Amino acid sequence: MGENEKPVLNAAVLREGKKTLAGAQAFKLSKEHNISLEEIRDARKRHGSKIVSCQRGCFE
Amino acid sequence: MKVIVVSGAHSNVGKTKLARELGELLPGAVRIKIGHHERKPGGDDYYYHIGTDFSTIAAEHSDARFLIIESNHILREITPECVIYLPAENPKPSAEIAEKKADVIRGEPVSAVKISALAKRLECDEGVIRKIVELSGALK
Repeated sequence: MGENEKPVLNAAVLREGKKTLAGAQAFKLSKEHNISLEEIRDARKRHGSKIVSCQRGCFE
Repeated sequence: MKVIVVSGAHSNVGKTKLARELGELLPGAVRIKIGHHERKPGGDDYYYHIGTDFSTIAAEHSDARFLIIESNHILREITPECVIYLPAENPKPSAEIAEKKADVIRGEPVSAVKISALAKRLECDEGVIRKIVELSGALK
């Protein structure tokens, strides 16, 4: 796991005990931690978490 | 976060009034206005200029349960859970995409199937959707 993946994965895995992350939270993590949306999408795929409710369709 | 876009044929069709009413109806809602003018004094919503990326707006309000956005232009970038369109004569060019994407159009009927679909998308009771339809001036 890369150093930058930690906050993404924590948020993705721990949200209400489900492996989901709202698209808006993904945008926030991207901006706060300077991680690209592509990196978040790839991390999601590697760890089986799911990003939901992205109105821009960034994570489909 | 669920996004409701309030769009319209042009200004002064009642977008702000409807957005305020929706904000009162939906707990945890944050109201956003996107425009190209300077912000009018006394505005009680968040104001962004046209061209602001949706990801910026969403990130700044990521804890909101609902975002109620007044804009036509944002529909070029996103597909929200619900689009409400307020028609009028002589619509401006940006109204075309809003009318195409609209789930609820003032003055037009909304089917039971559509109400059910909106309830699922917005994770709301169908009664809440009917109230949204009523506030929008669409026909149930």
